[in-house]
Amino acid sequence: MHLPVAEERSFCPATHSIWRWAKFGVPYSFVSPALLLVVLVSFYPIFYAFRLSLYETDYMAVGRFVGPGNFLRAALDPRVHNSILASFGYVFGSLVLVIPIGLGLALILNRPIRFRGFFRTILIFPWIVSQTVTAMLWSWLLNPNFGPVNYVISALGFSRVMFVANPNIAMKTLVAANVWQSYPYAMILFLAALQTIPSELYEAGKIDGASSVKCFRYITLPVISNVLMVVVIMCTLHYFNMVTLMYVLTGGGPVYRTETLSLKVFLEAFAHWDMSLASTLGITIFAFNVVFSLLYIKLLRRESLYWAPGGGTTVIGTREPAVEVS
Amino acid sequence: MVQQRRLRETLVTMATYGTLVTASLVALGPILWGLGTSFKTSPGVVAMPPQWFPSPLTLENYQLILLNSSLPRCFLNSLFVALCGVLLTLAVGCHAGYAAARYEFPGKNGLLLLILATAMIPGISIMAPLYVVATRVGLHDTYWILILIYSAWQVPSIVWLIRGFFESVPRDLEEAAMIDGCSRLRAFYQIVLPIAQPGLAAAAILVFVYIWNDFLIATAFTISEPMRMMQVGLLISL
Repeated sequence: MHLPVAEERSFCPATHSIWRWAKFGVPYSFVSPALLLVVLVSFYPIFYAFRLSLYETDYMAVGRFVGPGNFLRAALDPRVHNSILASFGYVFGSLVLVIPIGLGLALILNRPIRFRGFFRTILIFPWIVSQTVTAMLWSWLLNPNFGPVNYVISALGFSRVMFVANPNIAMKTLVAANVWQSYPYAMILFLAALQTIPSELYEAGKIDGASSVKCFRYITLPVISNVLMVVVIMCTLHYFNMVTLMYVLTGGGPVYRTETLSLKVFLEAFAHWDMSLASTLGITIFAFNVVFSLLYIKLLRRESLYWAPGGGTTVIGTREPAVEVS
Repeated sequence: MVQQRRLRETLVTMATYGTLVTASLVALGPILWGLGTSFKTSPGVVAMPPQWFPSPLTLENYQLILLNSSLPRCFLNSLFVALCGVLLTLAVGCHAGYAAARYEFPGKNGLLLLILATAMIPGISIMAPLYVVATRVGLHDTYWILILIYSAWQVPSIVWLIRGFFESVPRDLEEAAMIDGCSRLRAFYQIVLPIAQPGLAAAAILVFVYIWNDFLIATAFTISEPMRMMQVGLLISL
């Protein structure tokens, strides 16, 4: 971070008069509302979360200072271990499905096929459905008594599947609903990256006798590898932090099998009213986010990825195709 | 040889369209099922075997929701909060974005980094402390706290987005206006902002959809029925 004083010296070596600062009045007053907002609603609460995590709390009353006591309590709690495992299972399970599905559909949609615009529109649809509605739709579809999926299963001669109530299946159901809702995000980013690949590369590859598998391995994959990493990181963060889908679809059950760390934070805070434990686990989630975000930033800096003016945190493609076709 | 290749091409084409049609059915299926269910009568909803098409077709569910439920109120709440959130986010975001795109000032990079860095703080990590603070200052269960939280959490990405749009507006336009005697501020409000309208519209849509689809903040920071937001109302009305 730049120190304002040092900057000021470099800007105006001779005077320190107030007028030197006044000429920056406009930009400072332009930036300050945004700054005020994020400081009050994001920075202050994260510091307050640190503070709460070091104290005992009873509902909203802050009690005795316990130092790392809450962290020790959390680290030794088997239900926290269970939550961490559930989170990793959920994130990993979703990624393993979303990345190939997103990439596969993007590859198909990037080819000159008929009705391409139509299919692109249809396949993006689940993305505009909120997590609440996603959970409600899937719980209707998979309902053991009158859901159409179980009807088909029993019509085929199998026994009914308790998609949400069975402890061994609930997580898979949750992952499936999540994949359904979030694969379009990966698909859109992959599609945008694929569109930056000049067709000359493939023509050159074909002339050299490369099969389509080899074209994918040696042309497509190197170009989109950065975007691939970005999608993996963004999805990891999103899945790790999400609450609504599991809260509505499974509520963490059965027997805590789907109680991910983020859901546990929410339940500790707003069902058990244990603000110190919620803050402690919240800080843990924050630390995980910082590590992954730094990884993301490093990736952006290292490679020629750029922040396109079309989508906040969206990386549209590589500035120059980083391929070497030997 | 030619025949073999033609056969292979046909197979690839069939596989391509087969995948696309299957994927489209999976993508649309749950949405269409929900839509179909909305036209079913109560016995039709739980009928076994399930009705693939609603029969008899009825609009009574829509009538019930519009006239005899709290959902219209939830709808208006969400609409109001989302519109206010969009206005606040855009007002705050376009000023910061313009300062980032056009001005040089001491500490610029540090301040912008500070704003962007808050995007790293996940909402779930700060919900408990925010709840405590909001309750203490008496903002819990008001429109204000919802609008403030939604805006603050969207501001970092929106500043970045809008900055990109401002940077794509040629500086010459502002300079020409200033030569004609226009002040820098007036050049911003009357020339740059109107040109960047498509960008602002995109930002507005992103923020609106984010607020409209949010369940978590709405459920944690409101409690009374008149304050209930759409996504919470949906779940409760089940």
